[in-house]
Amino acid sequence: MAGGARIEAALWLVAALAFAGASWPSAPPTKSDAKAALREHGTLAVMTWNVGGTRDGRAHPFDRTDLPKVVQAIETIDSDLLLLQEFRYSTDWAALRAGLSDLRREGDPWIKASGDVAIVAFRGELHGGELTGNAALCQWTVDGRTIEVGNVHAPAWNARERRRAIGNVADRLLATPGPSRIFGGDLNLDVSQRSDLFSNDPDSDVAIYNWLAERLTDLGLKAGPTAEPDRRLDYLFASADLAPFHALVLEGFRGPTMDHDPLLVTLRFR
Amino acid sequence: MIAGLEALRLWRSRRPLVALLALLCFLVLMLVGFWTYAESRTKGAAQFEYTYENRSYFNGLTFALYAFYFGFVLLLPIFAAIEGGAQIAGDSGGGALTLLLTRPLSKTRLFFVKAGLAALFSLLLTGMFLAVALLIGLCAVGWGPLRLYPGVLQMTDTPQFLKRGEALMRFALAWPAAGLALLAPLAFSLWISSWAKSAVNAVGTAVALYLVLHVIAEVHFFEDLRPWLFTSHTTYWRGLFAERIDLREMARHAAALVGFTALFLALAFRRFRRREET
Amino acid sequence: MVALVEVKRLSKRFGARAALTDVSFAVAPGEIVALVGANGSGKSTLLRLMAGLLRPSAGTVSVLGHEPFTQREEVMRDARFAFAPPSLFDSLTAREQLVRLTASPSRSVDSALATVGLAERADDRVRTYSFGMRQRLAIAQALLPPPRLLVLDEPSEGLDPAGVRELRALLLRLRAECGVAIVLASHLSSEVESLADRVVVLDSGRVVFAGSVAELRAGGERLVLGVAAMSAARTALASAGIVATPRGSTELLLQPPVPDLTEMQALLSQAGVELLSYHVETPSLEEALLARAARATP
Repeated sequence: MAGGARIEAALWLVAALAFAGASWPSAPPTKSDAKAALREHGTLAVMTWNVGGTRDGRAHPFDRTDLPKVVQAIETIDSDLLLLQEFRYSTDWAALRAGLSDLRREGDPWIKASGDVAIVAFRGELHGGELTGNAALCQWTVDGRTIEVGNVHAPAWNARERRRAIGNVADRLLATPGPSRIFGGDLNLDVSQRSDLFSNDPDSDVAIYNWLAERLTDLGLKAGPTAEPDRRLDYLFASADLAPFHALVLEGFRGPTMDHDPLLVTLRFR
Repeated sequence: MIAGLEALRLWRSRRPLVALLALLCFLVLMLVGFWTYAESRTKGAAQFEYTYENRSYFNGLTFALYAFYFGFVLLLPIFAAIEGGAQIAGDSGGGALTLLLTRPLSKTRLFFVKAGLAALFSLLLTGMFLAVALLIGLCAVGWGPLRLYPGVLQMTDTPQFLKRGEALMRFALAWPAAGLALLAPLAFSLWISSWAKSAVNAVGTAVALYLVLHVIAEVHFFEDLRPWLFTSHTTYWRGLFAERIDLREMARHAAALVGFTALFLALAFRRFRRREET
Repeated sequence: MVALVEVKRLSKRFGARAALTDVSFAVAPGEIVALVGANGSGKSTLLRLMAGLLRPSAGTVSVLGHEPFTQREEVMRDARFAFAPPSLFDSLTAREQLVRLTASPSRSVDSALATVGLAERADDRVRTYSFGMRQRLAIAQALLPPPRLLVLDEPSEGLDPAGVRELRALLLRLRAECGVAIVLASHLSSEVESLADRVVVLDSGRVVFAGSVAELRAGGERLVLGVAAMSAARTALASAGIVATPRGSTELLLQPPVPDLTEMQALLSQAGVELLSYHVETPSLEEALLARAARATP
């Protein structure tokens, strides 16, 4: 019996030690190993996110108090290409770079910013660029391929302005056949025709959307609403040579004064 | 003496044969399920919707992994519970425990021979299941590289690609890792068994509690409870199918499983030492 | 002589129910002690306490100098138990069971199987055995290796008459040749009578008698009178304060204390009753046991 008691005590000890080992604090979050593996196999993670807010009523609605949360989310989600809207390059870029300590280890990210939009590449390189108003166009070279990228923050309150903003970028992006393309941003297209808030011409929104969807693949079609209350206002489109694997709206990342969730898609060259 | 006797009794009990046949039937059903689902739902479409629908990358390794995952979550713990229930409560109900206890044999030795044998049985069953799943995958679907994408099975949160040889190595590693994970439900069922007087009660209770704990571990409402449930850790072996294995995270889960196993074994052993055979 | 089994003021409760209360007895080396009692009297509980399968609620048990629940392994080195109904491994053959369970050499196993008459079925699975054969196998496993103390619960249950006779001869031979002490729980008075040196009678978990068979019967003798005139004889005896119970049409039973025969003859003669016959009758063991139980019942 004494032997039995000793063995039982040993089991309790093993359990205690194992639980202590299991609850040892985790290492601080780093870029996941899976991410590096993605890069080896040419999978692209592209995200669009309106990082501004509306609730505080500021003229420039990017709420500085939510900046650390945005930086943390970008670090965690760890996309390869980031389309930002309601982003102020002059003040926010430095904060973003400083916050993304882990990303910086692999070199500074590339950025093309215009107005309140920015295209950020954490992988590959950004070239060229037509930067007008709240719209940006550039080439993204990644894994030896080049992709034309467009990012727009289209006006919310005027359908005609919205069509013009989207059309300007889309026309230039689709001007020549051939190259791979990614087009996205906060398009403020209300194709569900909830026109009470955003659209003064729902037919116009549907027409713009249909025009885009005929030429590019709507990657976030089944991903769900991106903005309050349940609107799909943020879009990512891609040319047919880019095969989508997965698209989802990432809930839980935005700060208390923000009104958009990020839309993340993964793609691979066909 | 006792180890040989118990091994012979286990073999003669036909439980190993029944378990193997059940797993084989399960694998065949899984194969039919994958086949018909892919045919009827997607008509072979390339568009990715649910991970296992896409025929462009689905092969024998994917089949083996998914079949093993389902089997591991739902079937193997039940066989572990049956073994735990049979080893103490089953022997008690049939009088075999009385017979063993009237020989010059310590309860400590008896308990650990039974626990060890059940663990060995679970490990072999896990290995056989994996091997047969791979074999069926090879014969019926064909092998290739293992590609995993995020999806309903939560096998991965980012796309993964493993060459065939590397993937097979990961399957080999998954055997002991899953075997370790199965020790926790097995020790849990031994603990339940040490309280029960009949195998039916022991197995029924252990399986019911396992399923409840498994569901709680899966439901997001109980996020705070998860670290305290062994069922939250048992599928940690999925981490082996990432291109780069997060060893630290795997070690944490493995340590938790060792902890739960030792805890349940200690409780079961304590009860077994004090248990009366009426 | 040191007792092999020593039970002192032993009690066992299962919840609110008292299965044994204040039980004391001892078994000396080479002695055959029978535990006798009705169903539920506590015999099996007592045997399980002796085997260390149950923990005493109060009092002590010592078997071969060890406390069975905490030192079961030591007890089982020299003590063998066979409980009723026989517990066996059904999926094994008789030979496999004995070889692996008792770790005995195959020659001893063959000999034990031959002793209990199972040599021809030694390689059949136990699940194919009849109840009597299972009983025989349980006894065979209790003989391997030869113990100093053998504890058997209803060993004759399920055996055919020849088997019962062989078993009794075997137990007596074990005692005679090896000095094995035997404790057996039994319902069969013939078995107790033919084997036991001492009897411990249990009733509702209490010992109501402990002693030899002769002592159990002692005090139970009756005088049987054969008379022609039953009614006149009873009246005559009653006048002298003697209670006589009629048995049949010509016999009267006189419970002890038996009066002086000459006086009784004179008494009957005065009443004109002819005494045809008389003899002293010893009660059967069953009657003695029933009488003990009746006396113990408040």
